[in-house]
Amino acid sequence: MALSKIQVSSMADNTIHGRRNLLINSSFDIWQRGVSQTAAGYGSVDRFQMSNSTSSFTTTRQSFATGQTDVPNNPLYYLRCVVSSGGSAGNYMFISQAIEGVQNGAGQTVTLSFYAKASSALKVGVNLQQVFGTNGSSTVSTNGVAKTLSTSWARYTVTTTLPSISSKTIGTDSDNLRLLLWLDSGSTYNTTSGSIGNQSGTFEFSNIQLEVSSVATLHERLSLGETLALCQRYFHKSENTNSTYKRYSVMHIETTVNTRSKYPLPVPMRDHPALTKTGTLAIYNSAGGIINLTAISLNPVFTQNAGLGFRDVCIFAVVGSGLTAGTAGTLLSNNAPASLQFDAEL
Amino acid sequence: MNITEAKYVVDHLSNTNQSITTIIDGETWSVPISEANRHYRAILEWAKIDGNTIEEAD
Repeated sequence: MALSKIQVSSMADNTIHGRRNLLINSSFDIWQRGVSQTAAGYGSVDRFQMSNSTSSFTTTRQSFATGQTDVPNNPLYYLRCVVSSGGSAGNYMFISQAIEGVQNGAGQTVTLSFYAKASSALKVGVNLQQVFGTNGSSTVSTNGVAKTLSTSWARYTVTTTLPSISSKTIGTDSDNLRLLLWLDSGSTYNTTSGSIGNQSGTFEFSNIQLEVSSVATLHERLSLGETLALCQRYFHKSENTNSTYKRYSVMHIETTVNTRSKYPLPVPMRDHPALTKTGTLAIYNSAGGIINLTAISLNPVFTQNAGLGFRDVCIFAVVGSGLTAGTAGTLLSNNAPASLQFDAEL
Repeated sequence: MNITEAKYVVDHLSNTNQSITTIIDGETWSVPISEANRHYRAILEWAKIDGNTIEEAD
């Protein structure tokens, strides 16, 4: 057969390969911290941070109706944010995600796409910031671009070229590319917010994607397992929601009050995490029974750095008295809901 | 982050500061001494304000 008979178009593989979406949890599948949030910071949906000044907000997880077709790919949830503007020049509210590594998209054309709707013709300001980390160059911010939302689900896109980082200094840690979605902004922030102005109302978002591309491609949907693992690099919660004795770790009892245990993390975390707990935790020791903790902390001295993250942590748990040195014990919840939460967010 | 207190925790075996126990937004956190950790960076910023000090361990 002559080469001219080969139909090149029929051989072409039009599948878009590789992981394209720079954002994690882009379908709002994972909410380890909770399903609603009214305070600034990381408090509900994984990897997304809420920021505000005077303006108040309530962010919640909402469920799509099964089989709906307004937003493709059958996402389970969407994010709702109800904003009440403070109404002044210095007031704002925005949602952001920090993408690890300021190199992402640098000097390249990137496209943000998202599905959204609002309670009225409200604007969303899209803004990207190159953050160079500790002792790095000053943050570089793109000018904000405003999109006016419809009251029905629709897809919106913003394409921009990010500055090169060739003359910049990347700091020792925590550099990132940060996406900001401004929902309310006084005039002080006109440059970065796209002059959306002070506004109040309900915003809803789904299937958000930031990719190195001059066009928006089909939203990339990962499995729940993949998304959870990606989120756990930055935050991990081990929770017992029932009144039972959940075992968290096996420990070596070093003195009558001090213990040390290795807690394997589900995936390597970005850096030494910070630790907080909820509920009542205790130590079970065959000699002393169940004794509630008086303090718990992480011991980075014995934490293993695998080079690309921390695979486990050492928990240093303390009680008032009653342990037997040289024996073993377990860290557990004391017949009530409790959790351990590890945070290594950017 | 609203930090109201911060105190070093000493490893009783090595006798070195191992972490900082702090109260942030009303929650108690154990924070590593690592500038890559956002909680630690927040504590450093808090400690720059007059009157704020990271207490030595007991």
